[in-house]
Amino acid sequence: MTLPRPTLRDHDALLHEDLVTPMHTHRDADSRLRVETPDGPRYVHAHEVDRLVAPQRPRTEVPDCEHVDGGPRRLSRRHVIQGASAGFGALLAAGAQPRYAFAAPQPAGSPAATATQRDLLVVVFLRGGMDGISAVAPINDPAYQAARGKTAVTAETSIPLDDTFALNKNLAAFQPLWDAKQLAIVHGAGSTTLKRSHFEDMNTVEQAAPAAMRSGWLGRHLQSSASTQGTFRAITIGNRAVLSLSTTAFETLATSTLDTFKVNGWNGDKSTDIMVSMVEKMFADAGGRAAAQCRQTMQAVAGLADVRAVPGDKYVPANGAVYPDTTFGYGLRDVARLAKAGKGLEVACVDLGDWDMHKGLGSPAVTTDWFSRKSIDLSTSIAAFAQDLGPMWARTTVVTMSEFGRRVQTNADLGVDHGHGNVMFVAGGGINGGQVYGSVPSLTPGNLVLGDVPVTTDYRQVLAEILTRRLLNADLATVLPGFTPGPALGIA
Amino acid sequence: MLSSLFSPMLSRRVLLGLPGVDPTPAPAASTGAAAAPAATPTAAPATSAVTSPATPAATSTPTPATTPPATTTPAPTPTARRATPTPSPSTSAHEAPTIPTRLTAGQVLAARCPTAPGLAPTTSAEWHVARRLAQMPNTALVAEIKAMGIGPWFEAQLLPETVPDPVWAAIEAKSFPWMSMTVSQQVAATGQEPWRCSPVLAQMLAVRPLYTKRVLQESMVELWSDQIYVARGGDLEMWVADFNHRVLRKHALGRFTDLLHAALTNPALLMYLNNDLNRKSGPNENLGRELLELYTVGVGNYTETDVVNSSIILTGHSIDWTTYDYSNAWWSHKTGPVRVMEFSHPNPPSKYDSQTSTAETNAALLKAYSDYLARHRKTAERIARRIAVRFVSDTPSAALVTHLADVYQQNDTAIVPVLRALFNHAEFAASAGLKWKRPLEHQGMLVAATRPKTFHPPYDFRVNPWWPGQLHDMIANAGQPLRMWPAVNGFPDVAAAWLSTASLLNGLNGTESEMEFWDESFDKVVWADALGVKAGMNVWAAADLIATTLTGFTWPRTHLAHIASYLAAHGDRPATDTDVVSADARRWYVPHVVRLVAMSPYAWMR
Repeated sequence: MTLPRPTLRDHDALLHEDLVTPMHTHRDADSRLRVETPDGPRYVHAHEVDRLVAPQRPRTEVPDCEHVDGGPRRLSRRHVIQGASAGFGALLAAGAQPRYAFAAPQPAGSPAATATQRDLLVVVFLRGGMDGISAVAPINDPAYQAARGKTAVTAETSIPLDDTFALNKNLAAFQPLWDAKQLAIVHGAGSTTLKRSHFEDMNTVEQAAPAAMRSGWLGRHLQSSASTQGTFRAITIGNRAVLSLSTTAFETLATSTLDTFKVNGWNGDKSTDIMVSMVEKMFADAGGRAAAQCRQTMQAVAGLADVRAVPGDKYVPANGAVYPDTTFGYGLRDVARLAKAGKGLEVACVDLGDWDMHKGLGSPAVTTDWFSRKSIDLSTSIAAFAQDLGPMWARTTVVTMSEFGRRVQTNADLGVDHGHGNVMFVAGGGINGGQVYGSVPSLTPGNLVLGDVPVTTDYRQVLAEILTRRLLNADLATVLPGFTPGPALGIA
Repeated sequence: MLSSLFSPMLSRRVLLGLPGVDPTPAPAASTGAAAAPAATPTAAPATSAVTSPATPAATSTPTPATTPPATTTPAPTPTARRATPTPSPSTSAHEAPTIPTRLTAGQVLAARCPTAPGLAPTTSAEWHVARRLAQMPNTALVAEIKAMGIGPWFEAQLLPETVPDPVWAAIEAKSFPWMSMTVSQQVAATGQEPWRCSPVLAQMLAVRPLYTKRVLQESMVELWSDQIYVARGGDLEMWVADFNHRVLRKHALGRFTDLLHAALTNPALLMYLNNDLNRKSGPNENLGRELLELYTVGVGNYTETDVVNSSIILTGHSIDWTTYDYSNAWWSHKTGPVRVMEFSHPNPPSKYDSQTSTAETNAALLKAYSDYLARHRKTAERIARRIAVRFVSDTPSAALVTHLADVYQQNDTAIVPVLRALFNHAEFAASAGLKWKRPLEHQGMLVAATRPKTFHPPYDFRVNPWWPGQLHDMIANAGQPLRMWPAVNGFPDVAAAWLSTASLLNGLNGTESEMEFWDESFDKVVWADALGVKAGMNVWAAADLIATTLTGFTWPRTHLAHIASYLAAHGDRPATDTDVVSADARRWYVPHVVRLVAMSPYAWMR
């Protein structure tokens, strides 16, 4: 049996990415599209949309589908307790899972760059596709104001950055970093190959390599920047390493939070300790790789015991820093705890999801609206992180990435659909900040590519400058294969 | 590039604009005739006899079993292989041939594991067979193998439709009816949200091994799912259950030619590797390359030109969005002579229209190419190796792989003779404990030990299908989110890939969930009852009983001492020879010891 097939009128348009690549691949179950048909509205999956579309290229100004959030979903307690996120979907779902990579301590007298000379790199992946022109808006561009209407950032709801761009005032926590020239912004950045599928485009930018490669750019960086392996070369928090960190050369460890990185058991009961000790003895007797792995795991657990000893909710950030009460804030707080503990932390990946704003982007004047809320979370967390690190901030770099930007024209639900060019924030003590790099033309329709902000700066250009200048890794051919850097922007 | 973004729309437009075209004539016919002759009882002994040089007297007359004393038999030797189990009455229904397994009933095998070389437990032949062929073996399965005899039980597993499976059938009917539907049936059954089937599939894959009696079929479904891998994320959510049912399960014990062709004409794979975008106007090489690299001959056996030609051959095989099934899109097939390795084909245009193929030539070319690749020697070796790695060891001998590849080719890619040859091989008999479990097998162990008979998930799948369940979560945390491996090459099946801090730590922690019955889908049991531990029992006897019941291995006294000490005194002192299990220890410590056993390295040996 098949679906009844409603007839669509010509130009009963859906959004062009739906014709090209089915969207909402992050959590299809929660994402449906409403299609207006002569028989009334119908909710369909993106795949079905392909079959329903009119054979014309749609006019994007006549959007007639909406994104319905929150399909029927309930979580049991067991589901949400530590580490119980549902497999791969967790990567794509809203929320933050910090992931850490540790480098081995370099042997004494090592001539190469050491972990302490390299910056700590924190990669913040804004999953879902952040709307760059709401974050850093060309407020004086009439085409921008016309396209965005009520959701547009204006002089009243922004902080001027230069003649062209202004910072959404919900990102005001970034202002001290900007003023201290420790925050650089790259506009019109993105991947030159794009499918507008969350799933595929996240893979693309995390691999940062031709599709035939099955490792991520951070994994290749760690592999090519140090030759030694320590007790644990890399650790990933979350039940699986973020793709950026994946490499076949060494392990990247995963756990959902720092506080739960241990063998679970009965709190305050010695039974767990007794059993773990017995298990350790049996694994030691087992010899071989089993023994080595158990030893390594237990050493990792023990190695972070001092960090866990002061649990996250008892940890007092330095310099009066206050992390927001969010998963992302806690993630960065965990990164700071690790960084300060001197474990040789070199790379940490923390996700901030829920940027897929097909409906109800909101007004920058309302702090509880969707984009405003996420912006406050993003900026206050990073600002608190910088403050908390104190002197270590001088050797820290934070970079934000997203799989794509959003369409310039809002849709009928005052949301924005999948687009292309986007903003990257690069913050750190060694960053040449206080400047918007890259370029964005006036957002008049003729300057747009399929209705989107064009990509004028390859995101790998930004990564390349961070790699060479802050991470002291010049082996770009390994880390970013197939990419030839252009003239330096001068970010780092 | 931008113009190419729009070509799929144009393709579907064309597709939608041709309502008169029969979308699937040829492939439907070929998959419809998929019953593999080698899987029938009558064909099996003949092929086995011809193609099993290692077992020249393969069709020996059943003789009364001469069971050696169970406690003294050493690891199997070439002379110990001929004892034949007595056929049990239950196998006569389908006249399964009695095969001369090298394993004898009750035989004690020395187990060893290169990953844990310091351990030297023993195990029984039945437990060895159960751990290898089933994903979640337990004492019930071992008893079943004992009752039937190893050889007859194995032969019955090769004909899964003859194995009664009422418990699973009832669960499937109640909780997983979507899993055997076509996509268009799923559309109707799910209220037009067929992507709801994806998490339900993950849940089914996690729990089916606990209940089914057709354990070898399930193992083969898993094996093929890694050979021709389709992830259930992203765009694939509405297709994967159908792929699992109509490709992997249907052909699990059939011929690889049929399996491969079914996969290449299933929307899931065509969508997964973008073959719906592979048209004469602009070939997409994704499927054409992986077909060679992953599914068949493997890297190093073809050139980049072969990849281009492989992709050209695959143009015009797409998805019909009306039927949600495969579409023979002959109008977008690229014609002209093609050559891939030694395969060549004129790939002619239609005589009526030089611009297009015909449905018939399009289908015939695909089938010829698919069969060529499936029958290729390099494919035979890769399939043989995968099967040997799954069921024997991470490093099967070249001789074993060569032998299995020979059998595969001599039987025109039929899998049953390959499995039979493997099962009869000395390397299988001598492989107890060599494998290291993947998370599915390890996390399923404790639930299986409760011998579950009912399944009552906390959420009705019709209302809330989104959570694949607590057991699946634990498997996923340990690194094996089912059908969610992020790359196209499927989950690895060697110990090295599963030895990681995250996998071990989450594996250890998952045992807490299973010991405590956090998964509400399964009945809780009193562990001491389930294991037969009684108050007043000697702690060493109880330790041996628990360890053996859960893992199937007989542990040495040095390691039983941990369990005995815990049962006797909460680990505070070593157990004496006369310590007994107290009523309190029975109640409080036995569950802890269950977890201790599940966290031990023996629990990972397979």
